[in-house]
Amino acid sequence: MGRFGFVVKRLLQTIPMLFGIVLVVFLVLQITPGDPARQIVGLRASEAELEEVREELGLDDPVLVQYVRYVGNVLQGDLGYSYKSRKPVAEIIGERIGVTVWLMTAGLLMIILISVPLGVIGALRKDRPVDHAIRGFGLLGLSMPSFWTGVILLLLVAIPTGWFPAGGFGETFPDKVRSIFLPALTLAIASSPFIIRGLRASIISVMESDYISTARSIGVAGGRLVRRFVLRNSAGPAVTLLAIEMGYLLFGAVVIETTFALPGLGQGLVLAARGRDLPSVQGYTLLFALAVVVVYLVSDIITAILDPRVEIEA
Amino acid sequence: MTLPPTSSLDAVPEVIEPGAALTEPGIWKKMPKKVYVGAGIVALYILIAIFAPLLAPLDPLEINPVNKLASPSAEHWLGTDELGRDVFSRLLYAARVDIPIGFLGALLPAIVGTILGALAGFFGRWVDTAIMRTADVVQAFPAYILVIVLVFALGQGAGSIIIAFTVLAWVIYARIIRSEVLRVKDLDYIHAARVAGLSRLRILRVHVFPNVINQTLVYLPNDIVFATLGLAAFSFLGLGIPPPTAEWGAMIADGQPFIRTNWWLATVPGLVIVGLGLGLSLVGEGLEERLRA
Amino acid sequence: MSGNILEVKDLEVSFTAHGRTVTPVDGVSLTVRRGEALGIAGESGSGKSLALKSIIGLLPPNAAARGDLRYALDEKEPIPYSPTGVHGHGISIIFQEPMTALNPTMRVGDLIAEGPRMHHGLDKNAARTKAVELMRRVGIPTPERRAKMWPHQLSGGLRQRVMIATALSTEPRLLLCDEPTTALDVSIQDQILGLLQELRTSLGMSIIFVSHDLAVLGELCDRLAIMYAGRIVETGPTDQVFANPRHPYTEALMTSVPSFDASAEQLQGIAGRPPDPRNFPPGCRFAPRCGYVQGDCSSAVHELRTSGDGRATACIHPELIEGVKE
Repeated sequence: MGRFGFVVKRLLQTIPMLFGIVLVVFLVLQITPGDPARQIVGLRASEAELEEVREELGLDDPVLVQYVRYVGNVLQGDLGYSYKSRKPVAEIIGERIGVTVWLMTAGLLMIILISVPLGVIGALRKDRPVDHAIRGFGLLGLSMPSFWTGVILLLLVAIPTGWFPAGGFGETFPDKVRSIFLPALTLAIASSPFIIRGLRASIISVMESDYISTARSIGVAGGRLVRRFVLRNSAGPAVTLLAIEMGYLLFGAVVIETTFALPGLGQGLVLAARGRDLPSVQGYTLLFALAVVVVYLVSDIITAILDPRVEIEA
Repeated sequence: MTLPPTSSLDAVPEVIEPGAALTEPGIWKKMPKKVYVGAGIVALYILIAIFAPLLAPLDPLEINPVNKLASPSAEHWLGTDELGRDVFSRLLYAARVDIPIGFLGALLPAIVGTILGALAGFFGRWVDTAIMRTADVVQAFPAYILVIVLVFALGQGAGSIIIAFTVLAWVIYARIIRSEVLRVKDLDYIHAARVAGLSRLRILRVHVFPNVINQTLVYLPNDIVFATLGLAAFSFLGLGIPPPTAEWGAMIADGQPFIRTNWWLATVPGLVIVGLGLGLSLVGEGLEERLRA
Repeated sequence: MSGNILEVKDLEVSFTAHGRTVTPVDGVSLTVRRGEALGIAGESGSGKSLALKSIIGLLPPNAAARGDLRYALDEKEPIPYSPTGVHGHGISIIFQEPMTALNPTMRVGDLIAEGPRMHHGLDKNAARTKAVELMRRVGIPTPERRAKMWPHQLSGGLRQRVMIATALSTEPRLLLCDEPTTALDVSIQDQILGLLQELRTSLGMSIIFVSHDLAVLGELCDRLAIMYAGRIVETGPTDQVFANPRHPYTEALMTSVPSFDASAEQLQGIAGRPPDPRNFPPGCRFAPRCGYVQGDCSSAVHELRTSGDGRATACIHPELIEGVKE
């Protein structure tokens, strides 16, 4: 089986997982207390109005029927209507997704820019002062709540310099970059320690392997050794780690969007949860779960590209 | 966990001292210094939580509309918040919320995960299948998003948060403990114990648990950090501990609108969280060095 | 240094951890002549592999090497040892496990081309051509096709040939072999040994071959050095050592030879285990396992003493073994 076969097989594997996710989202919110119909019509509405909405939403149908209908709707891209704004949830998500994609992309970029050099230096200078310094930075980064880091960056960078807005998302491209910089940096400070730690461990184990001895014995050294022999072999585990981190990264986005008042999916989820807007919470949750599945898929494909051995194991 | 003495230094020149078990006599004397430093910091926080009512100069909930957003003074060491409440007192009282929930939010999953993992590993068959498939489903979700959904479904409050953390975090412990149990199960002395006619549960308790408890302990401090940071984050988002209870994350959220004028409102509670996190991380790193050498 | 390509004097390799120092290579001296194949025999843990790695400067970072090493790799003045100076300059090494010794994420042709690119400044295409040439030289069929393969797509024997081609790519005068046949099937073993023998004569290389398997060493090597517990206990021409060992350990090694099983690193013929480097016995380190042990074995100094016939032994009672023989 070639590389293409591996990708197809991996794609097929995600389908049952997607159904499982939809089921869990459906069930968890099924046990949520409160009457959805009452939420929609408001407290003053009459019993007749209430009954009408119930009928319309099919809330009196058996749970199984409701589930099948829900899956059908989700497959058609229909995530229901927000209790608050009465707009389709899919439309609200469409308005907000761009900001989150910006944040995640910029955040990932910064994570890579911070983690790769520090991970490499830490591994190559293992147990030297610079390695201890990097690990100390990691410990600090892990202990700082990301929302607080964001507040600190606002206080120490945004306000004194005036280069970055204190919140919101810009309209033009330069404004977008300016308004995403500090949130992305916050995300990177919170997540880089994990990646640095993983990359460092991965590089150290690669450096101890026989093929590094082989390379050194024929005179390959320095940057060439790192580029051609070390990095590609240690990148796989780091990519996997990054994918595993993705769940936390998405939560980081939720918190950071709230801190910086970015109108993205995360802020949307928080507002929907505060407002007890059930269809919106369902919609956002599904989308986040889907994002994680996609990220796992992409990371497996990247790992397969990096490591030529994967195709025979698939 | 003892390794055979290494006769071949060619192969593993670095392994000189094998890992140690917590049950080993005198092990606590040989802990790295950072464990003591970290434990000292954590103990200080716990003492503050216990004695907050004695230490706090004022009532953390008392509103004073006349004296809101005051700067630090002899009376209000850290000034007052937008409702005129004493920030220093709130900071101390918040320890009574954050610390117990952070610890419980990590301990409970550790206990549940350890038990389930041990059961899965020891009994195998359908018990194993049922437990580990459930674990797979939980892990398919982005971690904290699941917590948001669960708290949404269960309603805000400390209980919901602890339950949500437990649903989320037991999986890691279950996996670690299960594989440890599988490893230990095959060792000779377990067979010997079976032959000697000990009941399965007794084998589990006497022979397996002491061996696997180390693994749990190494993860626990880090998980307490996660739970504490998680709780603070949920409260910051307005989804955790409802007001007016003092909680560090919520205090940061309350203070954020005033960072231009009263910057300490949002920054000091964060420093308090960082201090606790560093203390716990030091304990975790030290334990890991010692127990997993 | 006339006629010698390598002189090693009083080599010590030590590790320090948790304030304790162990010295698994403890005062090894040896010389290799031009074109000669020297075999170093010993059990796992005897320090033979570490001694070999220190010659090419590939010790793990936590190891410290001391001693006097001099190389006469080209026709110029002999050069003293430096930890990095010899990489790719006239010395190459091949390892025991060809799977782990080849970079899994590099096509084998590219790996072999690294040497020519580094040392002869060849461009990509010239280096690639050179790599294919080397692959043909070590007997890899259809080298053009195989150069584009990954290590995991090759058989064990072909991988070891790739390893040899990589080692040859820097045109070494001295080839170090760290049990290169141990991980291979017996039939492949013979092929690789034959290849090494042929390369040695046609290229005029010197070889140091480390193995626990005296039979393998006997096929290839002119001279033998027997290592035990970090020290060389006997040296001499291969046939003479075989015919008439002068150290009880050598004799014990030979009686355990019939185990042709390549994977049996432990020598079944000798009672007991090799001593722990953390706690070497005083005097002769083989004494606790030795069948001829005398009262003074644990106290006397056991220097390697040369006799007139080009042989040397560290045993202070060699007459006891010879007595048994005759």
